Amino acid sequence: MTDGPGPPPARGSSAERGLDKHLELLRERPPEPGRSLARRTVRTARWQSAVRAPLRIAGLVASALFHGVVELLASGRRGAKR
Amino acid sequence: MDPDRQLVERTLAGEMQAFEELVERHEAVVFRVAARVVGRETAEDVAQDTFLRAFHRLDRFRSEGSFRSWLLQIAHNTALNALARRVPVPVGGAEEVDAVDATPGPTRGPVTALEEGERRERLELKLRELTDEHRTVLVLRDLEGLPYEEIAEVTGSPLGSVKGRLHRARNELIEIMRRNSYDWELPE
Repeated sequence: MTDGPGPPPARGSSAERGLDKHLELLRERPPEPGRSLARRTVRTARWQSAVRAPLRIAGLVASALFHGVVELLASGRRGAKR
Repeated sequence: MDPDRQLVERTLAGEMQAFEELVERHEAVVFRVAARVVGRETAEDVAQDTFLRAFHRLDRFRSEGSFRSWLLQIAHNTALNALARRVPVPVGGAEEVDAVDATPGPTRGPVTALEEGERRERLELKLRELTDEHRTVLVLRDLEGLPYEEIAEVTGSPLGSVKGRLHRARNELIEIMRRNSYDWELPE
């Protein structure tokens, strides 16, 4: 795990220093992710990468078929005009 | 070699265990930033989206930069997208109350811890009143302690703009706290 929040930066005006004291409340108790975040993320990444390649191939095949049909229809129309 | 880069290379070679290690190393900072920008209720979704986006474009990671900055850049964009999709809800609504964390600390009594928990919750809500870009720089600098250069990289803004934005963000938050609160002591 990476390190926690860094040190509070230096402030200029007294209002800014006052604000920094209040922000310490948030720094000292940062929100934490649930324990299963990493496991869930990796599981999702795993199935996404598993379906990604077949989906890409299916997309390419569908695209080629579509263009083939369009070309066929266009050539049929050209033939009918002659 | 930087451990993050090693893990990136191993992930690119198909080793999912390496990706899991990358997530574990950075989930805390990604979640903290997401929670401060979009709120705790959607922070897990934003954090997960961030890692999945990073996973699918890992080959685009330029090894001369830091992996954390690159990841936070994705988290920043993912959080902004989540905010843009969100139906506006008045700040201070009942659904935000679950953010209270009043667990007594090791040296505090339960009453003090409860008061602090309430103050923390109110401060989080005040933070949510800032504009998105002001909140982001304030979170990255004043809560996460990132250097200005890294914030500039994460937000894709020039260094001067980051400094100016941070100054305005602090003043905006001071004004919000003075305007709406009875117990935030902030000298003039």
